[in-house]
Amino acid sequence: MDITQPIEILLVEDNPGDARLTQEALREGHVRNRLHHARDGVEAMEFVRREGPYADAPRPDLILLDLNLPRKDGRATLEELKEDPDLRLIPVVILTTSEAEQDILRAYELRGNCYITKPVDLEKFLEIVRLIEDFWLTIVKLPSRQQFRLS
Amino acid sequence: MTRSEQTLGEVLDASQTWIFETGPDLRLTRIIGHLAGMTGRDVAKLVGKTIDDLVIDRDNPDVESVLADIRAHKPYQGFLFQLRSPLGLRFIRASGTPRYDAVGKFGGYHGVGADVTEQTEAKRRTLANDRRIAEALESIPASLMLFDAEDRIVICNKVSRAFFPGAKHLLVPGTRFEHLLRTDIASGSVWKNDGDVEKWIRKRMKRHQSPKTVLTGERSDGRWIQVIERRTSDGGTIGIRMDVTKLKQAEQELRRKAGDLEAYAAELKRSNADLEQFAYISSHDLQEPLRMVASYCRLLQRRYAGKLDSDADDFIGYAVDGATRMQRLINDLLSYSRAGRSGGESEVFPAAAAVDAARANLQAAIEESGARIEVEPLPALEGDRGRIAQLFQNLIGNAIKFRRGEPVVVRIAASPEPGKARGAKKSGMVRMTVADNGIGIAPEYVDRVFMIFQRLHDRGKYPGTGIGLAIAKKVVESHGGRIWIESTPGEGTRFNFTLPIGSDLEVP
Repeated sequence: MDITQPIEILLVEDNPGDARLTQEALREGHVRNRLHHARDGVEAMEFVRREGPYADAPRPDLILLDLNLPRKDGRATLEELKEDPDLRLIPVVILTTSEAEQDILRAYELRGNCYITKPVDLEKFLEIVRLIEDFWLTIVKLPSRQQFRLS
Repeated sequence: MTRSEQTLGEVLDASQTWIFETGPDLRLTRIIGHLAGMTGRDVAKLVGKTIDDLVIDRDNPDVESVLADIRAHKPYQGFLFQLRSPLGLRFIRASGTPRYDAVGKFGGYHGVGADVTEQTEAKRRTLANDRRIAEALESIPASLMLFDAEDRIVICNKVSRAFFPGAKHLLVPGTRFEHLLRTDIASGSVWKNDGDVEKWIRKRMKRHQSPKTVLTGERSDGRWIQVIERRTSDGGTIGIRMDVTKLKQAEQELRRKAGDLEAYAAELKRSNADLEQFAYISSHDLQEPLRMVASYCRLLQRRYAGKLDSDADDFIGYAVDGATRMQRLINDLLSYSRAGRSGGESEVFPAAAAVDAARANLQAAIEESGARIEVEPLPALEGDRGRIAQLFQNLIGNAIKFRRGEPVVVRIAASPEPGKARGAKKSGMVRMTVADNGIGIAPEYVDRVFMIFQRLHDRGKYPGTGIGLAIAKKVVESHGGRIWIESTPGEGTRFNFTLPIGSDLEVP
């Protein structure tokens, strides 16, 4: 991974307040990143497939996916991402308010990379976003972008 | 005595009959035959006596009237009287005819007599029996009718009139049942929903002829009647009729009340479930916007504290505080609504395990306060293990929170509780107590402590929303138990509650 290049993060979240909060949290983080925002599953899929207005979109290094979304919801989006051989290697973090057992189980069944419940408390939320960033973007070894393209 | 008289005497002896003659003075002149166990000489001794001398039941008016007839020289037939003989008191039936000579002068009586003691007594016994049976029948508060094999009334008590109001005059021996029934119906006394009367009568007669039938019906006058009919061994029918109106009314009343109660219980259950669902959904759905409010208030505080004027800092501070408190309330509301939702499996587990789990969760508070938790031998419980652990946690936590200056001692004990558990598989309940040496609760507040968000102290001294004991109460009540407080302000509080027992106490 080229450290000099900013990390591309796609946030799929319908609530602008939540999206902004994530954005603020990432701004306080120490990894140079570029946050892209899709408001539902349809937009997210267009983004990763570089369709329509997203023809020039970068390939995300990490996807933060909410479950309850208009049009195409998080579950369907996750399923589609993980069924696409070209996209399935992008780590997907489910970031949602749902604590329901069946949502958690379903997310892992659909090969979501991890499931996180948004904490109510701001400090904790900021901390968690930073931890996600640290873990997925600096700690975890992922296949290089080159390999992505070859696969 | 002539030879023919002797032969006659033997014949009379054998038939227990005698013939007699009296003189004009009514004294017996001749008796031939057998008289109440007396023969020969005994009978001969009676010669010279009058019937008046012999009769002993003189207080009987019938007897007196015949004796008067005899004094008037009238003929008499079947004169029944009693006399004393070597066999004791005997019933005698005699008939006498006056004799007159050629010039019409009264010459005395001649006649026959017989000892009818056995027949008379048998008849008397039968009469007495019949009277007893009749009395017994009349004393029954139900109609009793006996029909012979031709379906004619043999016996029928007076109560029966109430059941055939239109055919009372036919309630006499000899009336056929069908005639009785038709007459009664023709008079307008009908059963509800008779419809086709002919058809109804045919159906009724068919049942009447079956070996046993029990039917209950409502008459047009609103009375409920139960009829029980049974075939007797001689081919007749015995019928019993009862007015069961009161019973029926009580039954209907009871059924109506049970129905009301059931509907009320269902309604209550539904409204409770609705309320819980409402509390759960609203607290859950309120979380989302509140998270926004709280998060952005915090973010404002982080970014702009000290950068605006002091008023702005104050305002932001109040907003953050309010949002934080509201978050806590909503969280508590959520836990409260969860506490009553049936979710956890019911299992049998040692109460001590639930206490241990509670202690582990309270470890920090226990260490910080130096509280000593004393646990006496406890039985196994049956219920939702997680919630019961929460119950102990809330009560122990409460004891630690409301402590006085001295070291906290919390004692947990169990004792048998009489009575049955509602909805529990096991029969009994156990009484648990969590006692502390804390500040205590004034008697006027003991009921308020279990209400949701009720606080007895100001927030500065004892923080919290006032949810802990409300949840404790809900956990206990959802297990079919009850919870109550004994407390002396300044000495301590004793929380008592009952839960379904899972085994006997380890130590009583």
